[in-house]
Amino acid sequence: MYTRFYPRRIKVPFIGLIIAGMFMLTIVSCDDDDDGNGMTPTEAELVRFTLVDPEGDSLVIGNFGTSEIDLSNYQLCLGPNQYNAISNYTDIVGDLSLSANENVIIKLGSGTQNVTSLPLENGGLGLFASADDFSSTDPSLLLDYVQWGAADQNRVGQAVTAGRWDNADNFVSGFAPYTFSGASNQVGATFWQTLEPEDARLKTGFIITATTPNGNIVAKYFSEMPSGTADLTDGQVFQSFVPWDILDGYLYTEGATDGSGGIGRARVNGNGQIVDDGNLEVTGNTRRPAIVDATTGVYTSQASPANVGVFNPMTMQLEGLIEMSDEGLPGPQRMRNLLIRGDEVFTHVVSLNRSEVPFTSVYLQSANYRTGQFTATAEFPGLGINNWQKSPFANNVDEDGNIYFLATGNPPISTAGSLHKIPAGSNNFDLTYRVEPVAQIAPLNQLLPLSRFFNYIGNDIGIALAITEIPPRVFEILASVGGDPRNLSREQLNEIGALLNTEETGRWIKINVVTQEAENIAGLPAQGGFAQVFSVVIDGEVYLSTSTGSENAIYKYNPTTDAVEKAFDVEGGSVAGLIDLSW
Amino acid sequence: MTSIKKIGTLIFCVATSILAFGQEGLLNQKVTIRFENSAVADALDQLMRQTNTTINYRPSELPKERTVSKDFQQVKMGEVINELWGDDVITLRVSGNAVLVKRVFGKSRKGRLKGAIRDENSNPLPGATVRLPGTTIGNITDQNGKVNLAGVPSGDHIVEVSFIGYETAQIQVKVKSGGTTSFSHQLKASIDVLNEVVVKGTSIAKEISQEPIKINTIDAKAFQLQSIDAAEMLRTAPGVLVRRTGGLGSSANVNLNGLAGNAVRIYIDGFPVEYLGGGYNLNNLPGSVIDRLEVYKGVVPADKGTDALGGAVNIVSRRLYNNKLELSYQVGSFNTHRASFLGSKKISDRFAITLEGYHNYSDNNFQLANVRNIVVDSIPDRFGNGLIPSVRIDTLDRVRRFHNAHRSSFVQAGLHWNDLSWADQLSFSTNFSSRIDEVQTLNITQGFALLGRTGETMAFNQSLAYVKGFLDKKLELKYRGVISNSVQSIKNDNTNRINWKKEIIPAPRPIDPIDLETEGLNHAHRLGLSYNINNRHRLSINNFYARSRFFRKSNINPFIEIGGDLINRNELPSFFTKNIASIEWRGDWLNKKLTSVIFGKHYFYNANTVAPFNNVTNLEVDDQTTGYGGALKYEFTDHFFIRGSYEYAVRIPSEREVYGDFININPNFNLRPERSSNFNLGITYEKEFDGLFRINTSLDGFIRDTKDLIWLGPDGAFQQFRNNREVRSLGMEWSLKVKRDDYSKIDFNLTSQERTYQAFNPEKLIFQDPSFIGSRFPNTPSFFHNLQLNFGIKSLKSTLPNLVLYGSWFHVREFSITDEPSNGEPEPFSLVPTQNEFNLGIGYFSPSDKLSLSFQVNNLTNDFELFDNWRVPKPNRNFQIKVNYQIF
Repeated sequence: MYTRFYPRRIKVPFIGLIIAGMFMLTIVSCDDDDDGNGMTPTEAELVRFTLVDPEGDSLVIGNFGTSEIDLSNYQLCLGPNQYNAISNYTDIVGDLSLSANENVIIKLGSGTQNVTSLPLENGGLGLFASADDFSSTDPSLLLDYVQWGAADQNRVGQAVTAGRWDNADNFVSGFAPYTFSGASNQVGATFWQTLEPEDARLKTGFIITATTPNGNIVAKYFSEMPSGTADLTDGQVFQSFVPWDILDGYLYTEGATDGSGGIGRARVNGNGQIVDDGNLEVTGNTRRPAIVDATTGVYTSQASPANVGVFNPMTMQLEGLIEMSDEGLPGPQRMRNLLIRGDEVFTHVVSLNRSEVPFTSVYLQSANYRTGQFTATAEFPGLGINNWQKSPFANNVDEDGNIYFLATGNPPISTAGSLHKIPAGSNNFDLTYRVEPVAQIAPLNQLLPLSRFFNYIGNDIGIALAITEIPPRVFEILASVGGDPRNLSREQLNEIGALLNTEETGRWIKINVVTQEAENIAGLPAQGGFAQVFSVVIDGEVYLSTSTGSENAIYKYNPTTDAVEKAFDVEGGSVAGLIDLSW
Repeated sequence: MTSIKKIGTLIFCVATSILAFGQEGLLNQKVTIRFENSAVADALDQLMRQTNTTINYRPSELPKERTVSKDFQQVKMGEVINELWGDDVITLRVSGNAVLVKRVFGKSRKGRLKGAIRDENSNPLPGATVRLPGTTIGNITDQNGKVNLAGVPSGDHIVEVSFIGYETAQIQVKVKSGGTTSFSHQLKASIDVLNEVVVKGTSIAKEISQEPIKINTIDAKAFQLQSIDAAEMLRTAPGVLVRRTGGLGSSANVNLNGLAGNAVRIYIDGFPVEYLGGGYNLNNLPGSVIDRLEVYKGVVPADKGTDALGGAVNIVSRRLYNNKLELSYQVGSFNTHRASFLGSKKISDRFAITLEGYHNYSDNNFQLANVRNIVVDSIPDRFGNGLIPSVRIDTLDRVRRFHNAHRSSFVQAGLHWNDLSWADQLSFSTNFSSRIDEVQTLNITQGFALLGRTGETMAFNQSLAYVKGFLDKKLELKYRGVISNSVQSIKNDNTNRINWKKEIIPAPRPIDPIDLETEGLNHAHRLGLSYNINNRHRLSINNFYARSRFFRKSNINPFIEIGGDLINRNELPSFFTKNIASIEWRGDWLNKKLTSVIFGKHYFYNANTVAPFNNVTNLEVDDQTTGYGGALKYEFTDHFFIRGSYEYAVRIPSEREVYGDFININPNFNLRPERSSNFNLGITYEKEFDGLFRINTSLDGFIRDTKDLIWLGPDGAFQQFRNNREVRSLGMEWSLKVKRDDYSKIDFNLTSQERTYQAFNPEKLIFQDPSFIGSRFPNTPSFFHNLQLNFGIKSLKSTLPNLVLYGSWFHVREFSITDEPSNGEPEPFSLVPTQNEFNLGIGYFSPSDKLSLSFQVNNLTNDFELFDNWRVPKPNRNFQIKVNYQIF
């Protein structure tokens, strides 16, 4: 069913052994790889890879000898022109002067030259004691070797000759990370363990989600971006599954998939199934977790409405609470959406009890999540009660550090939906910056000029959904009360709300945040104005959800060329999300 | 010549009678005379000759057409003369040796005989034969055990009452000429023919079950021994699932042929339970006060229905007659105590009083397994601000529920008249009910509990029932009305969350205290008029009207400003009115082999409130629509019949669905009534085998096409009821009963059903994914069956068994509480696994039949994976002991 599946069987065909033996005499080397300082360790200084993780671009080297070894000038080599000295890596856990029986963890992404990542599909990694001769078959130079994903990787012949690998046809097959389980004198795929598919965590591919008739979420993993129709009818159904951020293959959700509270963490396992993998328990519903890095994530919770929680997204442990200030606010606040700018977290705050103490301004508060210090309260007056609905994964901070906040608007007509800015380097709104996109696109819509789900996609462009079209019946209703929306009865408001939902009134628009110009994205069908939609950028293309009475699809929009095409239809529920695991 | 002679004789007698007035002894003179096909005049001549008396009469008053053939042996002469005049009423006067006969016009010599036949437990015995031996006069008793015999000659009679399974009784009665004579009698069960009773006896339950509209009846008598309440009793019916959320008193959601919730109406004695104040319902009525349950699936007769969409359950209360008092007490696990009493006192033939009541209590502290438990630790704050709470989840192997108790009480007194000149039946009853339900937690998956939340209900009801027949009972008027005052409240005075170990979970923001109260004043009336056009056709019209006035009082923001005025919305009432009018025609055809029923209904409702929603007042909405239906039944043989029924049914939104709950559910004044096309078709076969046992088996299929299904969905941060589902339920059910008597029988029924989406969000521009059209509706089991076994052991002398062993097995196949994609599998935590529940019990009847005892084990296997509605665990293994005692 799932397109990505790796058999765990180690492939050691007999014929392959013979061929490998023949090739031992005709080793192809990289003669041009001959720089280095030529250290030659003894057997007492034996070092081996103990873990190689192409998924996480990291590895572990262990000292199997009896003496301390300095790894600084040892070389990692993936093949011709792909080598790097270990001392060129900055993210190292442990000491490069490796004592006997000790390990050191090296994060390849921190490398300053080559070999800053490991190939996911297949590759062969050698550990050389010297950069003098990467073509050497001398076991005192070629200290260790491992190949995965496929046979005959770079330098496997040398490794076999050097006795650092058993056969060129043998390779490690399965889910990373690969863990060495043999003794110092044992080589070959037999002594490398892989993860069970159930324990694996895929970091590439896509998840498409849709809403079921009863409000549950159906989700399915695709190893490649679908085309034609994404069939979710055999997907997994969760009581809740709304990821708001991703880190290293982990998906962070509001609540857990079984409907319980806290912050959920899920992953896609080797069978392509979405599984729970940790939960940050919080005594109350949580809002929109945002992940900064492997050590820091932030969230807000109804249980502690005046705090921003800071947690470790790897251990899923709470680590601190930032006390936000209610100074300058009309009353107690609670936090909603979060976004990150540098070391700061910004949160939209609303009244804890809006019927008792309505806020007449829009407030964004900021704090330093590194120090836990509250920074400032930004206020844009006169916007009244206003929502901020942003697309998942949208951070809405531009390349310069300007923050954009799209207020939905507060119908009828008290305030229009409007885009606001907190300039780079500032923690307060630029009160001169206010873009009302509907006024530009649909000036006749004075009744419900709402806009939502802003997503800054780069290069000064933001995407949003705006109510741009008003059904004729709405004008009739308005005319019946003298054209003044304040005279509308509850029933009339209900009818207008239903019309805006049932009629195709909402359109995807783009806003140039610099020129402050808004325009429709041509070629996309209108959809329900109050629909739950999303936009997400993948490989420079903007994927836009479109669910109408006759179509359930994701469109692809190129913001440079303005080209629009349907990416694929979705079957199995009303389309709700597209998640790129490598995001 | 003869005429001249008679005139002369008359003249003579008139003259002599004046002299002899008052000499009545002549009429007491005994004579022996035989007539053989004699005209009355000739018979009089014969009598005069033989007695040497003169009998004077007007020839015009003679029943000329009448002939007499009778042999009188030592019968008073007055009686002989009366017999000769037949039904005509005459007066006799004696004058000397002459008798003057004068006919009284306008009066008949016949009278009316009314009888009430009951069994030894004072329960009405329908179907008993009451007849006057030697005559063609006779009839069988109706559903209330009553019989009405017209045209009974005045005088003393022997009435013979017989019923299969009971000893035939002969009762002496004296019928008054032109008047009505009442009698009552209790039949005694016959040991010798007990088996025959079972086979041939026609119970109310059986009669109802043979109606063209399919009705399952559950005779509570069979459960009299068991520690069981109405909801548990109901789940033994085919096609019925009762989904509960815990132990005694927990809410009971009835699923009938795929429809559930408000689509299934619950009635108590034919009256919608929602108008009875909420103090008593399916979930707390003990079995000992119930006579039977009637389950109407999909199609509800006009005289029973209100606006039931998917069917109805009518709980018929037990009522004792004559002087009886029964007590029942049950004690069991989880500190469960249930006591009930049922009594009646017959003041006169026409007046009785009844008193009944019960009290329930249970801690409901049953065990749960593998429960998530929140534990809060203190950890150093990353930012150096001291300690902060860190939450983790432990899994506890076993915990006991707490703050989960239920307490309810009910008492009712009734005054009952019958055979009044202006009322055949008149009853007035008043009852008071109260219940307290502790609410432990709203979602056990969250790992914490709520300690201080408690729901309380008190209700005070008065009801009046009136039945009167006119035109020789051809026309019958029925009325029942109820006035109910009720107060329902939900309070939460403990603002802490606690975990399953009762440790307080520190929270910067405590739970808001809740103090909600709803004061309701309901009055509801059902008026029915039925007319028997002849003995094959009946026409009836019915009307149900109900109006509720209620105040919703909340401690949260009671004051709001409207137009500059500060208004306390707690003091503003809301109103909800509904009216359902119906007409039904029932006919028998083809020598009563074919029975037809057609009916139409008109629905109207009005919701009106002055409570402000978003600063808008005087909200009002009304709607009206019509429904219709019919049923046909054809009997191929005495053992085999087929029947089908259809109803286009309508359910009016409830006031909660329209108004919301004033907290989390927003009102929806655009809500439309739910509509459903319900179709049933089934065959039934029933046969007695060698007088030993009876087999009854039915195979029924059903279709329910529901549109505008009212569904609670999200509305921003709140919720709202909306019409956005179309659902089809399609299924079959099979039942098999093998019965020797009420205490020795096997009942098995099996249901297979599919409840599937046909459309959703039809009014919205949200894509209706075709892959979900036809997919299963969540939280609806698709296959289930149950088996009830009863085995009674009795001595020959006993009418009831001495020992009864009983057991039950309920099986529900795995189902999902979330949507299921057409090709997908729901996640494990969304699945309710296959359920197998076993219960076992043993009961004992004393030789006097006044005392019975039972011991019962529920959830015999102590299965902790037994779930109920929405994966809420059922009580673990528990034991119950029950005692029934009839004081007199």
